[in-house]
Amino acid sequence: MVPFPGYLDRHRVVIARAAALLAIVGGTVYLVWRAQMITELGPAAWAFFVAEVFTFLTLVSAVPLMWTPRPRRWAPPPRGTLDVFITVANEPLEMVEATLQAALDIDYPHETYILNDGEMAGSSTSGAIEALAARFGVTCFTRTDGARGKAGNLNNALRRTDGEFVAVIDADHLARPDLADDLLGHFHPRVAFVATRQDFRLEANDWLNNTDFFFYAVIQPAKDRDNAAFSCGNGVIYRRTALDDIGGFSEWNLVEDLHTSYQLHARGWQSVYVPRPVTTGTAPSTAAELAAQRLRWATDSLRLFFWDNPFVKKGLSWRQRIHYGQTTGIYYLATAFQVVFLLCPVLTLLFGIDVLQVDSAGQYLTHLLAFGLPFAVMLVAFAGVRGAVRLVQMQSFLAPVFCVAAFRALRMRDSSTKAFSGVTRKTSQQTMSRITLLQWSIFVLLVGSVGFELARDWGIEWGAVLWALVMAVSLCAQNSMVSMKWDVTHSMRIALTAPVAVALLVALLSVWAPLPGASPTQVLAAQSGPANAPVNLDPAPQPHTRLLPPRRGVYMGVYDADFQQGEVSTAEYGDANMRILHRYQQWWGDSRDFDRTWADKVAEDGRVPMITWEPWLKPENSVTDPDQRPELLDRIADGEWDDYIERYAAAAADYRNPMVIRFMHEVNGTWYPWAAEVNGNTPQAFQRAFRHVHGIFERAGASNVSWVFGIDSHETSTEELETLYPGDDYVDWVGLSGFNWGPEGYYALERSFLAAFKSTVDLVTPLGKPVMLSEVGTSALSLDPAGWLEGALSDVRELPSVKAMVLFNADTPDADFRLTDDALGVLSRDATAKRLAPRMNSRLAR
Amino acid sequence: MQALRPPAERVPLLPAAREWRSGVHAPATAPLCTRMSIIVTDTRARSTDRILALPDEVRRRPRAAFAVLLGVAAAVYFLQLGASAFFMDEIFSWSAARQDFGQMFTQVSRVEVTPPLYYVFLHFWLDLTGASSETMMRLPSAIAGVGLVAAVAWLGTIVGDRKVGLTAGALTALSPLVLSYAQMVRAYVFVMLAATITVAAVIRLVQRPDERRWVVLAIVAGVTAILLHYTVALVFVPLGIWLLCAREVHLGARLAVLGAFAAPAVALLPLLGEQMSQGHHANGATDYARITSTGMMRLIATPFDGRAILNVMPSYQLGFVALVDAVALLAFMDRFRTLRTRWLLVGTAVFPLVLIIVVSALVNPFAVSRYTAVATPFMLVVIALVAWRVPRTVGFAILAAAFVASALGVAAANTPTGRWPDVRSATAYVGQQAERGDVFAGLTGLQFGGSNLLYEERYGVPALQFGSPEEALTAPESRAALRSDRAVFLAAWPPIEGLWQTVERSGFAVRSARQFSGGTWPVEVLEVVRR
Repeated sequence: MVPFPGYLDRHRVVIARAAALLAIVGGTVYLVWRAQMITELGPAAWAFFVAEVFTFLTLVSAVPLMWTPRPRRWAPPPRGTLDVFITVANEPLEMVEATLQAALDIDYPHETYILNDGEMAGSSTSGAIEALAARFGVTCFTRTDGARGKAGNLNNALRRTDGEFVAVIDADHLARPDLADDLLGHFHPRVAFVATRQDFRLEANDWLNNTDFFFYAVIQPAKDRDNAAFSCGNGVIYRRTALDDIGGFSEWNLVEDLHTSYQLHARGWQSVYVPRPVTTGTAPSTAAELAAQRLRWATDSLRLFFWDNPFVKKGLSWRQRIHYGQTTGIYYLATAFQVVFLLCPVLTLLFGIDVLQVDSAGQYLTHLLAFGLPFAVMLVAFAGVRGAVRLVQMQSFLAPVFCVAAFRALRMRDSSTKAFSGVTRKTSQQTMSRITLLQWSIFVLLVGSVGFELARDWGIEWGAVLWALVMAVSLCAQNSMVSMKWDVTHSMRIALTAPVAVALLVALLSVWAPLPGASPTQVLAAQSGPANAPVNLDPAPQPHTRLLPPRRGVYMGVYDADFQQGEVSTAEYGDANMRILHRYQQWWGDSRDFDRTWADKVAEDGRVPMITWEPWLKPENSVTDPDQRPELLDRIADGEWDDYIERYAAAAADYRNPMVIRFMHEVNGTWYPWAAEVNGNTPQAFQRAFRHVHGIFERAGASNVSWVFGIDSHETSTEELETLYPGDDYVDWVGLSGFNWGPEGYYALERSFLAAFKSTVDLVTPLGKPVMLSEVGTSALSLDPAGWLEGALSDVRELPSVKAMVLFNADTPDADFRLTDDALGVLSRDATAKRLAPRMNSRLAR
Repeated sequence: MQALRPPAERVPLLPAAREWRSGVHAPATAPLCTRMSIIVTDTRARSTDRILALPDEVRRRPRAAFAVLLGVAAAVYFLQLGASAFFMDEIFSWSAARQDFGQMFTQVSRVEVTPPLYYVFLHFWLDLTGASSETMMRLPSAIAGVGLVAAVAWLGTIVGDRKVGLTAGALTALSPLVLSYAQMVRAYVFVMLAATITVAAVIRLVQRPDERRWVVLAIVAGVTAILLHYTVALVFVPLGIWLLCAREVHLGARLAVLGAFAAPAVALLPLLGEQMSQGHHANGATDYARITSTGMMRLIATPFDGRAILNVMPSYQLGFVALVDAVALLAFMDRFRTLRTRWLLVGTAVFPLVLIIVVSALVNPFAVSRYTAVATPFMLVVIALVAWRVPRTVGFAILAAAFVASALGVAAANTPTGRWPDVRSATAYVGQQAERGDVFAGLTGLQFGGSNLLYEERYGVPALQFGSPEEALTAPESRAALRSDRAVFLAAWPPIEGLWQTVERSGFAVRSARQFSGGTWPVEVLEVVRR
């Protein structure tokens, strides 16, 4: 015998199964990889991760249930008596009339009844319905009291009729003449109902996915195999005795179909699903109406899941439990979680809250594709390209709806607390509702956050921009369904989609374009330039950009002896993202001018150069020489070396990119000639010298320079700090130097990271400036360099004012602070955490 | 078992029920859901005209409405016509146009990348009027701007109807880009005008193939446009293709028009080659014309780009949305299927953008709106046409976005200090302050020296051009002046940070300092004397 049409082709089932298995493997790999990088992230990232896990588990739980659809074959000839119930609430008269005529035209001998609930529904056409029934000579049951809803209406009729089988047809559905011929033959003795696929009059593109091929051709046949297919309330035939066995149609839920099926299955009855439509009717054609319908369904299903849970329901097989668990709870909750996917790009773009490791976009995409690609293939195999796209779009659209449904269902344990009921409107469908305002708000947020981000001058988060635009595009189709008029929705759809899609193209082109992007300020300013001016005029110099502390997390940086030779490679540090590359420069050394070549190379890699600028000539094999150039600070302040400073400042100003100068560091020590207590210096002279040099840079226009006031991390009093501090107008960061000297070091001092820094950080934090640990090192001869570094990367979280940590990786005459291989391994592993690789933050500093 | 019952007797359906059942109430061409909707909802056609309708008296008086439109355009363009100092481009135009033809062609071929027609016209205008003031020199552009509004209104009328025409004209009158060029001594507004007339004439030719006058008008306007600016080719490519496919027009007429366009274009190729060989544009327009997201967004919103105006990002974003929406709706909505000019309008609005973006991405950066300005009239006609033809909500939103974007741009442009750097006031100040023997030194390479020649002549203070303040202060002329206790006036735009300190470090003193606001940055003038 040949199975009914309407099942999935066998080869598509095979492809879908293979893809599903690959998706499960790929998803596992992806989630394990994600789990490794999630530990350092914040709540938003955790929510994102949980949503991913939930989505994956939904897939894992659904695949076995979808694995084998049950192909029903043509049934034996029909038998038994049939009553056809047409349930009417407040539908238009002509619609009911057409439905009635179609029901009367059913070939199989039957009795037709109109179940008129118009008075209960407050309809003004209730009397006309009775007249209509009289005209056609059919019985009309008009209720004036009893349980509200369709179930009450059906039960009222059930008590007054006696056919062996009961066909239920909604008032907006036209029955096909062979309705009973195909279905009645399936009623073996234990079969309680035969459900069918729903068919609607829809526009060609079915933007609201009313067709739902995936559900009717994949899910229901698979449920049918496990005797778990459920009635959709229309085009279904019930066995009267089965209904009697459960006391009639279930009135516990808002709509009767799901819970009635559930009760019948729990009582041991069987069901049959035939994937062939036997009626054709109307469906929601506006997003608001669809949202209202799905809210009703979702609330109903989740209410069942929460308060009559299938996993503890007596009488169900374990496979039925999983099917009902999936249908009534897991699907809705997993979809609701997708709100996270919609909102995360907004959080990133508007508030700088990152949920993914930005610096590993390629790696992320690779892992994501391992899951996403087979998942997409599975969907396409199951539902076709259009069906798959619609499924994904509807998931995004319905996510907020299901969130609301979950909250409503939790509050509706008792059937007396039903907050609402009703049927989908067939006429004058609502065009906007509170629910669709949610989707619109999300759409506006997505688009607005992209606009906000694109207005930034530097460091645009292209990943989040693209993500937001893709999400916005996916919402366009459903959001545009604001009217029952096709031309309105069509134009709305184009009007919403086109700018977002073009913006997506623009963003992709901007990412792809091989030329480095100019900042918007450059573009804006430069557009005022000459239209056909002579060559080489540059009317819009690049604006100066200054480094700001990260909005979250800590910049990592490093001093490497190779940097002194002009190198910029950080390959040694593996995946650790070294944002700040640090080198030292002496005023009277061999290379005393600003090394633009090195700085440019640093900037090319998207990093920031930091120069510890030292007014001395470092002695051979020593880091101490406090007596160079007596009264050094006063002489600096008096302008003795202004020519050099000005030259340096001009070069720094010309650089224009963010850079950091740590000038006269560790002033609270005694080992450098600029220290406040030695060499004829005073704290006041230090302040004067610092301000003087700062002023020269300011006048040179070097507003791209961030200034670090650096002290050594040893016991220092607040008073001493105050006498040294040059002032808020002259300092951008407060820098601290601190080391674990190890037993062999100059100080023979083994101390933890917190012991080295915490008290000094506490001391300088009240200054209100971001703190930079500008020299952080541990002796290679210390007890456990790798463990010390691991502790440092972790413990820095306890110092919230610390916004940058610059490692010291070099051998010195005092101690060998080179990072051991183990320590480098720790760095490569731990410093990749998002907390230690925040996005760069800067501002224009004109 | 209950006895089987026979089917009920058939009762004739009422017409409405019959229609509902058959689903054929609506026209057969409409999608099924529309047909359903027509049955189940109250879908009495509501004209989009209602919400956007013009007042009755205006509708009854088309000429009055047109006059009002031109009046608004004139008010917008003539208001503050002379408020801004000349931008350097304008001074280049003046500089070329005031010379005899031989020198003019030489200068144009070396400095500009445009054909010479505009400078010839300007030459005669200067001769005729003796114009040297900002207002008089810009007057032809402002008049052409008003003419452009009229031309766009005409184009809108013949591709749509009077409402479309008036709306397109209003958008043009308020377009920040058109305003910018209508107050500028440059060829852009003229080429927009000529291109609009050409396109309108070609459309008229297709609509009325028997009227030869449209052939003549198309040829005259088209050749003029080509001789005004090379960028008109970006419009003429889609126009040519469209005309070539227009079988309503006799092949001879089509070839005549296209041949007339091709002839001057070919003739200009040597000049273009010479201009390009000068190095100008060899590596693209400038550094800032590279592909960036904001740059492209601003480029796409060409009609709303007020050029010299900063901080009007919402204007570009709204303009971007309005234009992309309008073009997409025109291209993809079925209701425009029967519009004969559909693909011509889409092509003239989109092709310049696409080509400039592709060239900027693949070859050299040219992504600035001056190269797509020629598409502005067609973009605005598309917006107006679509706004009147799509459902009212969408149409209203598009028009609102377009007008708000325009208003923001126009408001930002009309500042009391003008839109360009106020080199006029700066030079006048030097002219007032300077005494015999003083030196006027221009810095930073822009606006002073050759490009400020007009003002230097007007105020009698010829400027020397230097690359840096140090260079200016150590030049023999400056040293001589300072040695003899004369002053050196250092003028800079954009301002040089730390200029004052640089002067003092060089051993001199600043006797006075003035800043003249205007445009994106002020002009700074320091009077330097010996300490």
